[in-house]
Amino acid sequence: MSDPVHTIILCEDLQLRCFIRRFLLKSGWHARQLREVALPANGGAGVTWVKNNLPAEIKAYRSRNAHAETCLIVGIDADHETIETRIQALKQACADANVPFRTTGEHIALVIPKRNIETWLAFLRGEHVDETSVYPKYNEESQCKGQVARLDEMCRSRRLEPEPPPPSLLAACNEFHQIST
Amino acid sequence: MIKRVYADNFRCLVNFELRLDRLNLLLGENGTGKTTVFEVVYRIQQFLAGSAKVTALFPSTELTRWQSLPESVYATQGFASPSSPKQFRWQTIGTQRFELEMEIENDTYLYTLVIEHDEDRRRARVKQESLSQDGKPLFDFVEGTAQLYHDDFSRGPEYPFDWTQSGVAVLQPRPDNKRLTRFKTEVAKIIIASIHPMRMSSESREENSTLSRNMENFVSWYRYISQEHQGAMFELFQELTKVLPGFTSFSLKEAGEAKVLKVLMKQPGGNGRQQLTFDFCELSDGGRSLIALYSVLLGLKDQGASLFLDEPDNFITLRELQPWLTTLRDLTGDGIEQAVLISHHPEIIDQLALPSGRWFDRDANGPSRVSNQPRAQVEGLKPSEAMARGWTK
Repeated sequence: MSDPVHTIILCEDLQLRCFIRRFLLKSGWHARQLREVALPANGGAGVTWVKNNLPAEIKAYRSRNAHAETCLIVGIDADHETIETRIQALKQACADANVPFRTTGEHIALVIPKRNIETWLAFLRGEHVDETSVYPKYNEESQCKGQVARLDEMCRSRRLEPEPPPPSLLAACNEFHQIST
Repeated sequence: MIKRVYADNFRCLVNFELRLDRLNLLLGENGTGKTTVFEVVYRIQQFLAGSAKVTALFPSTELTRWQSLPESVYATQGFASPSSPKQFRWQTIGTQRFELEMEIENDTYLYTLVIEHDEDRRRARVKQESLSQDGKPLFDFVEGTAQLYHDDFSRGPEYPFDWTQSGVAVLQPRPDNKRLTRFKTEVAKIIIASIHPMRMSSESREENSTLSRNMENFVSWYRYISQEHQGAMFELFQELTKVLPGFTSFSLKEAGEAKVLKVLMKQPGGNGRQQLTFDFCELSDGGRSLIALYSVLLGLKDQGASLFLDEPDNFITLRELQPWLTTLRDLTGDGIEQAVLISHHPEIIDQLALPSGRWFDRDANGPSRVSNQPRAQVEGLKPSEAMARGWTK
């Protein structure tokens, strides 16, 4: 039997999902270890879709993790909200479904770029960014390749430049560190 | 209905046993032996029909590779070495064993075929062939001698017989071998097929009562069922009008010595009476597949056929898959004797995996194993999604 999937990616849009997948591959994951939860219709599902699917994915994660080490990566944009507000919304979605939210030691990472993934991409192109401005989207998701490589380099040197990095990216790095150790 | 298939020393099947119910879905990764099981049933069916001799149907090239390797190779490859020297010698000369257990009107029939392969691997011969009902003999062939039994299981004639073909196949129906004939009739009713619409021809030179392995002879088979089961054709046409927009009926047109299957369709925008005529082969792959799938279901309805279909979902749109599957489920046990499907399609997996799944496994190039214990039960996930993640254990 071939190796089972190790990491599930539940993500609200194609660009964020592409960025996360490519970063994981750059960090040593293999494509066969990854499974992306299919997005509905237009490829941009929104926070509500992630909230609706999160309880089932957490249940599946726990069921599987009891037998084999597993990761769940959840990706949503913060948009105009704070990261804490977004996390609170995810917690509430789990509470509504009677599924306990992630507990200490569980390999569930919350990747929440603020304002959105385009903010991080602009930063990784070397621009000074803030988390409220709107930055341009790529025509093709795969155009983020160079920024993924840049983030990988910076993670290895443990230094995000130009300073100051977006706080949401720092938070995501901490989340990634927790699932990769 | 086939209750059990056993095979030993055939491709990846070593001491392999599969138990079946009325409706079954064979699941597992590529190369785990699902289609090989279909092949076993097909070869036994052909052997019992007298279609070919043993060497043609069971060539030595299909002996399990590692079963004939020297013992040192067992050790280096990590395979369990046979426990006794006797067993090891028995394997190295290449003996295959097949068993088919069928339930027919509450009686259990067991057919056993043991084939011996020459050491030079060029010839095979029947070492043993036997058929029994509820443990009582109907036919025995052992090393050149055949023994017949009457329907009351008393001994009939004993005679020398050919080692290269089936002794059961050559027996003609007689008043005192009704049980044996009934078994042969049921085996002949099994359809083992995978759909290859590109190989289907519109033309047929003769009727054919059996559907070939890849359904190449679909039109010849359709000619046969449309004559033999005329009552079923109306229902088939009714169903196809819902499945294929514009479909009205088929017609078989003379073309020299052959007949060509024509598909009559309503003319778009017409008054309903004007029709367009297409050759069967002019339809899309999906259209031909749908016609074949519904013909198998509805054309054979009430004939007690058993269906072994390998990936019937190929070429079929999602919209059409569930209606066909629902029809199959409804008819199985109520016109269709038994259904055994192989599929990797999420729609079929989610419908059938948990109640009817047979889960195939195989370590790298090792023997196939099968279990009917439900798997892919991950809380919050559909079985197909659990399978896609490889979370089946």
